[in-house]
Amino acid sequence: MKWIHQLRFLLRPFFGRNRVHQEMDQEFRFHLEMEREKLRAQGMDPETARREASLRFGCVEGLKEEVRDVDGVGWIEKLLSDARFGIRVLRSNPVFAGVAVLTLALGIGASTAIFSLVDGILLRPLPFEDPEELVTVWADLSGIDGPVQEWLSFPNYEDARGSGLFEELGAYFEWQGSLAGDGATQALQGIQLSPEMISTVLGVSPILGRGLLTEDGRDGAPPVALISQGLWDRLFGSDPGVLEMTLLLDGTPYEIVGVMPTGFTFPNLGGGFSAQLLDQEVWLPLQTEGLPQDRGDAFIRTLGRLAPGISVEVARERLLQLGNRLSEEYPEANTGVTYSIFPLQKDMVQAQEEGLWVLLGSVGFILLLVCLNLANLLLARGSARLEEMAVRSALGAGRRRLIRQLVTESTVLAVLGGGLGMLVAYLATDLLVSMAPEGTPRLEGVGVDGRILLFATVVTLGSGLLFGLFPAWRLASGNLQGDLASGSRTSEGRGGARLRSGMVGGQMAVALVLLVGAGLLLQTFRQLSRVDLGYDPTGVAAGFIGLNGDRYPEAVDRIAFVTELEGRVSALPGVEETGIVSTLPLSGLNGDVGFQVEGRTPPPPGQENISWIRRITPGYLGAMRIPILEGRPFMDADNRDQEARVILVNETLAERYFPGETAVGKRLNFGDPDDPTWREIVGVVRNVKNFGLRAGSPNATYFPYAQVPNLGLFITARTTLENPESLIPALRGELAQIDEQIALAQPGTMEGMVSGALAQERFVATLLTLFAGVALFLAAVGLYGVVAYNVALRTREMGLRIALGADGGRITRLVLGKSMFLGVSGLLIGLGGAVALTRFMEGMLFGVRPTDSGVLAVTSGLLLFVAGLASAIPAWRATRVDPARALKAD
Amino acid sequence: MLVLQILAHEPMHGWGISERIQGLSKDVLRVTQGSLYPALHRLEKRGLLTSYWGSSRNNRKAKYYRLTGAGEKSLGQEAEGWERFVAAVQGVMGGV
Repeated sequence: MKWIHQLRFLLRPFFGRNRVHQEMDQEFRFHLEMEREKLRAQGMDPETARREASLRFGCVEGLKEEVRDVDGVGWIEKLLSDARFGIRVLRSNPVFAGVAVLTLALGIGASTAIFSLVDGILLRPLPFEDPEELVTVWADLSGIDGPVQEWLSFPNYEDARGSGLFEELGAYFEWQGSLAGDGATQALQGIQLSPEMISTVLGVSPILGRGLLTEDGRDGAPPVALISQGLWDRLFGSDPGVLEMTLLLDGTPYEIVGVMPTGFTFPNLGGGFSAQLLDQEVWLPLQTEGLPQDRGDAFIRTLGRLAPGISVEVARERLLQLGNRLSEEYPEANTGVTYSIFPLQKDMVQAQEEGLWVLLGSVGFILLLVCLNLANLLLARGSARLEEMAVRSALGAGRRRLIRQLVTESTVLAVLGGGLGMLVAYLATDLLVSMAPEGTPRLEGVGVDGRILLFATVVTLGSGLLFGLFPAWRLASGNLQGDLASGSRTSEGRGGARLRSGMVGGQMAVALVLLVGAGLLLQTFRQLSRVDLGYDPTGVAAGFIGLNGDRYPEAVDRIAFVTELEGRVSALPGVEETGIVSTLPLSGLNGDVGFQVEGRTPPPPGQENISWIRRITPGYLGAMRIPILEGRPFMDADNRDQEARVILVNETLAERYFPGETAVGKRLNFGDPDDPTWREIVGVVRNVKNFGLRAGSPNATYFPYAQVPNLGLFITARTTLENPESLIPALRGELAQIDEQIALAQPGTMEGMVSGALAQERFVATLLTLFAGVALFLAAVGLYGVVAYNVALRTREMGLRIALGADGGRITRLVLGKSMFLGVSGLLIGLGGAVALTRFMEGMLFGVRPTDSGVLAVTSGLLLFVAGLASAIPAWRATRVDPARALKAD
Repeated sequence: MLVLQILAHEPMHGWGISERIQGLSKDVLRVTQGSLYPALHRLEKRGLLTSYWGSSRNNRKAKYYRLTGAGEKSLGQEAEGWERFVAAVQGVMGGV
């Protein structure tokens, strides 16, 4: 109850101000009337009674103010009057106000926009039920130099699922297929998942129909599908009768049982970076019966909900125990293999986290620079207002009152800047979202809303205090009477000058930190773009084709399909070479197998030789321009003859297993050791960056497609066409000629894929470079301001010096010397700051260390150059001082 | 304390309180009447008084002040403190 009472008093200034005034009037009037009547009853005449009553009552207006103060409505009136005065002061100096408001708007707008990215991607809870309970479980192969997040084998997944740690732990795969319908066959993407996943784990319901049921995942259950609202609109015109219809996916009819709401995306992770690019339009129940039971065969990705009362830490501990037990029980497959578990939200945004924090830190620095600049301007302006302050102080304004007046003025500035900044934030957020790399997770949730505006408000008021309080305090604390007496127009104390110089040095330092950060990222970007890919991406178009196992059951069917496709594509105008590969570099699709080297003892469990495998047609190496280093490429004969057991290996495998000798002619075995099928290495090819530009190139083996023909394949075609993308319609056409139920999925160019692999780096580096440029500019403006101001103050001194025979060079040196001193001290502090801060971005760097001397030298040079430029103008002006005028001025 | 004591008997408006103070203290405590109001508002803010609009005896709208529970408690404490003070002073004076 007490707080309601207090609240009433707190809110009254805002809502009940007029009422309070009226009530007070009425109360006082009542009192005066009563007193008057009393006096008249005592026999006084009306006029005397009125006067006497007023006299007894005291000063009405003074009392009113006192009561207002008590009631807490006084401060808002003072604030409003201060604010009105502040606006008047600002309007009297529109250039200053304009510059201040604009830079603030940019600083606050940029901070808010970046914060909206950070908030939407990193901070905001996922749009699922109790999202903090959602986790992903992976195989942890770090014990055998493998990744921490690797797919699970089916039995290992089942063991984790049955551990009691999870309310449900589901499995999923990406699904790509072809949808045949009335029109042309189209490629369709989606997720194949444990039926419980959407309703139980994520807690999302369809807007129409039912979700997937456990029965849908049983062996032999009729095929059913959930479709997206987008697909529902596009294909069925939002007809509610869709629930009785079927989708013909890869030739199999699926009954449509439900429609998922717009915006629902299954958090698909672990298919490499391209996983996020997958457009999800169908969700199909995963039938787990019949999945390989080999513990060495890893292909399961998981998403689960922790059981009530189980924390991620507890689950991690218990999964480690389970992993150890399984390693003992199944040493061949599970040695060195255990589980890792991550909160879903953290897992989803791993790749973005560091970059986003770096960007947020950078805009924070920019805002700091803006504030320092404004504080500097206010200090300089404040010196000019000393006289005003002195007069006000002499008229009885207390020091607190003066500070409050000045802080209110700066807050008015901040509020104007902040208001405009929110507008900037709106625009900039949209711009950022459209600029962000394709496939950035959770981008759909990024936007300016109440949370973001609250952030902007806090930032606005905070910066208002930051740049306002300090100058105000300095200004109001001086010896004001003395200043008034001295009559000097500009008399900034030594302390003020030192303070302003210090702030400029600080600005230099902050700008350098941002410059170094941007420099490191640019260098990283350069190194990554120059990475030897192992192939030539220019002029290559590619697309994915998924064959239906029911319609292409035998190897001969698949080989026939591939042969016809290659024949047709190579006959297309503009096509130089074409080939098929099972896993295109950077596509995110990969598969590995264990192997043995002929004549060597098999390695102990946990140390198996592993190689990534690719199935290719002979044309592939030519189409991609992957060089043969030794031996020969595949021939057409290798692709026809199932008995020709030949393979190609990459440099890594050749060097690791056959150091100092030739790998050509050696034989490897990829199967069951009891049934050896030895395959002869006929050639060694250049390492290809398959897993991303930063990743190394582990062992890789190429098989002729015809010897192990699989269902998922990529067609690649090197073309002489100006734009390889223009080949794609022709590829589609040829594909439809062969089988109209298959669509070309994920069509694109290799150059596009490489550029996509750099998108994240490009995004962060571009923004950081932009920020560094802005920071440099702000620091330069700050330096210019201080130097110019000093020159102006010392006009008389300069005039005297010139009159006494100092030449231009001398004067220039005098001015430049001081500003260079500032620049160099800022530089030194900035270097220290850069070394301290850039280690936080170490994970983002590639091919460059945080303390790279080249980057440090170039950025330092740039800073000094700009500092020199910023002080050159005032220095030049100093040399042009007319001694006669300067000396006569006062 | 005086105000609280006066209001302990019955709710009253500002003029009434000032009359009562003058009457009770036999015109010894004579301050400008208006200075009562900031005090009243201060007490109200501290939660010792609440106010409401009512009609005065001659049927005019007036703002009445009334003691709250907290006000009664505070009055009790202050009165006790005052009595102790008076007793102490009397003790000293009587002892001379």
